[in-house]
Amino acid sequence: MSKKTFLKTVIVSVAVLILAACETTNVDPIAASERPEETTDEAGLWLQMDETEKLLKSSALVENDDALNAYVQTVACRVVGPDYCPDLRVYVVKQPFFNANMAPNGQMQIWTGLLLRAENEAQLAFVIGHEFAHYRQRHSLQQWREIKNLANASLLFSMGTAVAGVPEAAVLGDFSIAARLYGFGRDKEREADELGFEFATQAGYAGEEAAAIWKYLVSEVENSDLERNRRTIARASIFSTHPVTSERIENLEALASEEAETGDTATSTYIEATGPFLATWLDADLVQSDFGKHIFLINHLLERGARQGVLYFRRGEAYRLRREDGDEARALEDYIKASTFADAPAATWREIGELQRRSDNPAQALEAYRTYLEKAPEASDKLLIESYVEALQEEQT
Amino acid sequence: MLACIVTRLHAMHLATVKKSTVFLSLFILLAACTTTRSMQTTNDATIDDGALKVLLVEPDVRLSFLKASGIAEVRADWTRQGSENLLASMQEVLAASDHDIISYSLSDAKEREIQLVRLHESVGETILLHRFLGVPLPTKENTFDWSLGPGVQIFSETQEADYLLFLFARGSYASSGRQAMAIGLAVAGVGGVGTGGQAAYASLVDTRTGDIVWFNVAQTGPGTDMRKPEGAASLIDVIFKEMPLLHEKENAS
Repeated sequence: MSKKTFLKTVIVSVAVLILAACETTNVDPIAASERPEETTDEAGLWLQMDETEKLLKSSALVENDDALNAYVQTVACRVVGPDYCPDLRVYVVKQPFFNANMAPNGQMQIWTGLLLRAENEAQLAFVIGHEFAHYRQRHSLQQWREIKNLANASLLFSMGTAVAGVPEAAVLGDFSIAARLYGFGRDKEREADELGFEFATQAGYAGEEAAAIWKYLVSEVENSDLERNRRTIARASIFSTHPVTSERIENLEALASEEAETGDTATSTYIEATGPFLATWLDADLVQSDFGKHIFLINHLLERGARQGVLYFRRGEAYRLRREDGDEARALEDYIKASTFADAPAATWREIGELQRRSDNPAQALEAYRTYLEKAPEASDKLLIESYVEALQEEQT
Repeated sequence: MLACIVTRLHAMHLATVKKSTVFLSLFILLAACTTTRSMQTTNDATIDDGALKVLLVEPDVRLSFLKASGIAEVRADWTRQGSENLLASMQEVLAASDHDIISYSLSDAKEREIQLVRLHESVGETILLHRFLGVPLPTKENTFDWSLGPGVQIFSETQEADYLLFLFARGSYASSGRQAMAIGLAVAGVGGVGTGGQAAYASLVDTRTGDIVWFNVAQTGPGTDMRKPEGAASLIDVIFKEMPLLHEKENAS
């Protein structure tokens, strides 16, 4: 046997061993209260996610407000039904981006940036339905097996090209394999969209809300200050893990048009549950300094007609910090508008005082500062404001 | 593995990659036979005389199946077996001492303690990197003064103790495909295809200050297997060889 033949024999026999290890991604949906067998790859995935969940639980990023957590868990249980309800643990994570995720062990994260943008409970329900579909269909397990199989394919490809004497072709192999993995991801997302739609509509939620949240997101991103963000809307490549948003919207709208009954949007319960957090979540969103998106979002929230004091105040804050031409006037206008609503935060009057003082309206400034001190007698900047009040009083006399 | 609605989480993955690289390089750097390197604190800390209370913190173990392609897959059953074997071996070795050894298991509710176990993992990796893997820190040239900090006092709130003993262990075991490939490629003149291995580090920590008074790392080749009681016992024997609590007794006798 020549050295080359021997090498080929070795490589071929290794290839046979690798091929024998190919694992099926065709798995049955997980049943309610089902747990993986300890000797399986799935149990390994669960073990790792159990570990990360322990850390997540004690993380400062997790919202620990009991009422909000109870609300989100209740919506989740309505979507997934009583059987699967105990299998899911929903965590509200303080992150100002639109996202949610699902781990194979039943740990679901809903980010506050998503709760801020969903208009009503139905929209939240579709997101939960989508994530639950990943769990029920065991998408993480399927994906893990796909990764393993593709890693084997990649290895076989490299070994094959090495035997054939074209090592450069190995690079091509890696690209086509990566594209296959991302394509696999997109297919799972489509499946999750469809099943999620089914779960949420069966739970009685309005079907048209599924597409509505995506449509809103597209329009928000179109208003971004950053071209990089605006470009992401239409961008799709063979390396995208998720389908293009326009395709998702089309599919979800098609599904909604087939629905005979109109469901429930549960807007008022949603506003009631999330309302107390609007100010905090908007504050976190503003940290990104994407004023175009941020102001568009506030305008969208204003359309719901609730929490107007907070929302006008937050829009005033955005204008004040943006500091473009005319923003100071816009900010003052918004603060004044906010001050006409009962839920305006005390800081509204401090900001009115500040802007009026700078525009040389001492009488209005004085009045606003006094209101601020009345509304926030324990404010940390109390002494500073009192000194302004004194100075303004002296000016007036 | 997370499936999310819009994009994947990158930060988390990066952190995992960094950590595993430090630790895996141990497998490669240290030879295939069993090796250890023991470190003692240079701090002004002496092990007290007499019988001491030592908390044996539930070991942090993760055992994986190394696939032909090089992907390591965590195995829940091996991890449990390994963890049980290591704990039993530690108990056996320590039972020979005069000290009061108390096993401390980490239920999910012990959030702070779980974080301290993670901290031990991070500090241990830092020690490995800067003390054993050729990236020395100029500020720690002649000192070994690593500490988990006084936060460890939380352990003595539920169980009074003088010292805490932490163990971190990882292992990966090659599939037949991986072994065949390593042999095949070695024949073809390509070396360096890892076939797995086991490594562990242990720390003895002062409950009052959090100072690591003793630290040791051990690495074993495929011969000793912590999934089996004998394998775990030999790893523990090696790692605890110079542990002060046991050493002291030898001197006395």
